[in-house]
Amino acid sequence: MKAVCWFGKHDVRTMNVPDPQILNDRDAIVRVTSSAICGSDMHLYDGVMPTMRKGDILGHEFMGEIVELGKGVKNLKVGERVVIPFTISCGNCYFCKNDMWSLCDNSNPNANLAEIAYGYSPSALYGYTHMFGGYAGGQAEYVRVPFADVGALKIPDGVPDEKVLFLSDIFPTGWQAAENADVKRGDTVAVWGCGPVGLFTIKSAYLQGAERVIAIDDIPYRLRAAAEQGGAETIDYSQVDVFEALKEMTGGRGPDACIDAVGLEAHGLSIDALYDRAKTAVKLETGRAHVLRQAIHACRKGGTVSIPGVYGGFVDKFPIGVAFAKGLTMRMGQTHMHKYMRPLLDRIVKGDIDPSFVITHRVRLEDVPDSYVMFGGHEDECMKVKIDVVH
Amino acid sequence: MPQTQQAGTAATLHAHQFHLDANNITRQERLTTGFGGAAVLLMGIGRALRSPVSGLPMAFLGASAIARAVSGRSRLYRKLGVQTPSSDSPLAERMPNAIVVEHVVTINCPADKLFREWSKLENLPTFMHNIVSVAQLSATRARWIAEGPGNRRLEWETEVEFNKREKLIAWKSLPGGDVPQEGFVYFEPAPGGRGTEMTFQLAYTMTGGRLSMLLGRVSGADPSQHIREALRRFKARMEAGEVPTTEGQPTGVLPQATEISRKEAA
Repeated sequence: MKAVCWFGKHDVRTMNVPDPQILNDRDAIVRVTSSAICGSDMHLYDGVMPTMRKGDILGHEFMGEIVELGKGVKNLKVGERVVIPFTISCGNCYFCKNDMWSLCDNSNPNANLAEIAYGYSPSALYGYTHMFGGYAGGQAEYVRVPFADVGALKIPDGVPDEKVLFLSDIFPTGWQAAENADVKRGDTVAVWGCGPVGLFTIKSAYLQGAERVIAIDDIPYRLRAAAEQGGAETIDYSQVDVFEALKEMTGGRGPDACIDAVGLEAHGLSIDALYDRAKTAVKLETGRAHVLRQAIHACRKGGTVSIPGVYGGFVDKFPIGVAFAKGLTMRMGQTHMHKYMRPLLDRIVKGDIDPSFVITHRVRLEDVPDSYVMFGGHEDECMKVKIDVVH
Repeated sequence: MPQTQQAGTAATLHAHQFHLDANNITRQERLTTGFGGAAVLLMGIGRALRSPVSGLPMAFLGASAIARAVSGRSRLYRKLGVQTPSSDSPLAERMPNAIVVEHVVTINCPADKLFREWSKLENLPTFMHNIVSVAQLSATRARWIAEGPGNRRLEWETEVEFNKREKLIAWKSLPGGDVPQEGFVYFEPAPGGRGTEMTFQLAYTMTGGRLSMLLGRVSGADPSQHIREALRRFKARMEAGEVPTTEGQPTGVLPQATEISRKEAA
């Protein structure tokens, strides 16, 4: 089959590789119809996430059709259309039973690696480093899906791929980001990062009752998307001081909730951003936390900071004193996918939201290496690359 | 009733527990390290008078060996999860040079179910990948075959006690085996309905002692790591019904993998 493989920093190739096989009873094999490149794939492409290996198959946003089932899967049938969540969860451990699916105890065969880094291992992910399981990903024609009986979400006939593909990650991730920000009716929410997760966060915040959403970025077409598609007010951080602008726009109070939808590769123009850049360049720091610092600084007293953006290791100059003095609440982590997929599918079917609005480019698997260059360079006003695996 | 059962468990456990010390270096090793360290320190000081570049690091090495001997604690051993029995424990008398490993895991399953599963000793190689086979010779005896460092075949026989009431399985090797050892595993309910806490302790000695243990660690045959992974696999099997794996999945570096030229595809 064709699959997009990682070979090193800025080296991604489409390869012919053997087809996946059923390895465990609860596995399914899915013939991928649609896939995508995620903003978090750029962290792998840029070589900032440790424990990738040459030849790893990338991709964690995919959907398709069941073609083979392990003998332990009773609730699915060959031929059914399914969306697969990017987190792999067993459904039976303490964490799955308590709706903390992305913290599953039993899906990571390399849990010992994650334990060295984090003390305890979160759930495994598709195509996202060996520390998170080393599972082959979904930028491919076929994928092996472990624990398919609890993971695969069946899609009703007549709902096109493009409307439901993003249930695999970025829509639930934006939804959880807003939920973690404890958005209440009438709130003003500030969102850093107007990429696809940022856009879904903006939409989710409105759906959860926010009165105003203010979006922050410096890329004109992304700010335009936040305004036109998300209905957000915008701040271009290259033009104005973000803290002053937010303060002014909120009557001197500060936003009720601040959301960092950027993560460990933040850019910025301030002194702390340049300091982070220098330190990550010589590997003294593994993430650039400029956005996170700014979100903490800008948040109103007693407000909430929510972090859907991915962080992998350490950051410096974390302003814990600011967070403490203002009594902030902070919530973060990978998305508890299985908790959100079905209710959000219902919203899509009802017509509350059509997630296909983020797609700007449609490509074939062979084109994906070029798409990484385009997406990473923000070329051609690229917002979201959808991969038409079957075309 | 629970009262008496608790007391019973405590008594049985007390009989088996190894009474570990915060110190993790044996007396003999402390003496060797101490004297060795002193010699290196003196040599280092002597050399430093002529050449500080080579002498000072040597003196530092000697000083840290002395510190290790005096404190009785090794950071390296701590990192590797090595413990020793406290000098007044019965285990120290029986196995003075024992290496002790302890691991604990919480499993979202009732204790008696877990006890029943682990009692099927012949199934243990499914979870403990360094164990080749376990044969239950009688109700109280088992024969173990393992693969040691350098693919060395290791064999031993143990007495085994299955204490169903207290969810405790304890074993002790009989004379003449390759790996003299004592160990036990027990299951007790976790607080707040969070399943069962499974504790595994093993004390063993090996020809070559700690050096061979460290070699085993390097070659991936360290019992401590094997036990940790065994408990993890057992937990996954009991909770999820299967052990997660990626062995046998495709990657782009297999000999069959070939790059698709973009021009060709177009």
